[in-house]
Amino acid sequence: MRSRWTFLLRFAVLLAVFELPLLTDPADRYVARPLSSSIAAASGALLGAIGERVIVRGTIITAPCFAVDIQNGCNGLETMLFLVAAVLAFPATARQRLLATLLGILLIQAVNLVRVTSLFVVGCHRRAWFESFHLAIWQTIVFATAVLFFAAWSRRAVARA
Amino acid sequence: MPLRALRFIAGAAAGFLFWWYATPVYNDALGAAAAQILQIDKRLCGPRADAIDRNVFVQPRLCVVPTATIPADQLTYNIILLAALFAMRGRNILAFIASCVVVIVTHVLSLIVSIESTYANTNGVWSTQHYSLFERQLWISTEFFWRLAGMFAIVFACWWIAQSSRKPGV
Repeated sequence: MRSRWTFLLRFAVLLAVFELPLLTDPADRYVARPLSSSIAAASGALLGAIGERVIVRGTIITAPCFAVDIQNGCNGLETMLFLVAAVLAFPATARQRLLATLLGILLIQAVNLVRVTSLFVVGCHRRAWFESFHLAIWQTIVFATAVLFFAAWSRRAVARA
Repeated sequence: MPLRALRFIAGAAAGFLFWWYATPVYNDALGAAAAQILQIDKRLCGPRADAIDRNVFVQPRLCVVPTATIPADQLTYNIILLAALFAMRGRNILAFIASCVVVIVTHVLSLIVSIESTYANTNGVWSTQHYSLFERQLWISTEFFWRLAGMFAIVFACWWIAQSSRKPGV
């Protein structure tokens, strides 16, 4: 029980250390925006592949029917940092942590790409559903992915130890 | 594993339906609780906070201060993840109830933070006259942190502690 509280304390500190710099202008300019632009480009390519006519400019995806601007909170960065904080707070070897971080980031970005793409389609074809999908549904799915990935990984890490 | 996945999805669906349909009533209760606490901030002139659709409308009563509309449903949807995680492993009702209490308390606090952040940063001259630069940054940073990660971190923490009677990991 005590080790769980220790884990939570470490997790909370790491989460604050990782997330709070996202508020600063340099982090936004040099980390968040380039990541958002990459996601917009990848999502634009995916939307093009499924027949949507879109134009991508920086972090903005536009089409005659809808437009989205991928900002902080929509690029998966905060979820990645959430997962990294949990992985680093958990007692495991450096190799296990590194692997979990890399796999977790890939997984979250894959889910986030589906999120952005599907949100654009929802916004284009079912505008009234957009807000609910944008926050309540997709944000929950992305964080649930991080939590479940961490849960599965931590069980394996304990089993191997 | 498939059973757990099904339970997770069922919990998420139940959480979503609860969040969707209970929000107007829940926002009213949240608004009332937050308004009681905000009476101590004299700058807000004894505010009322009433639910209007999925928002909370803040109206100072004792002097002329701008009103504010807070999209309160965006502060409470972490209940969906809470329901999904606890549904994965049944028979943990007491821990679920305790977690709900913790999450409800954080909802009140997050509404207070959101109201203060709105008043501190979106009312132009009134904001700069009544809130110092440090206060404005503090409120908006807290709100930003909470909305981006904190609201899910508290759910994760509740669930993690609830697993304490089991072996480490999950």
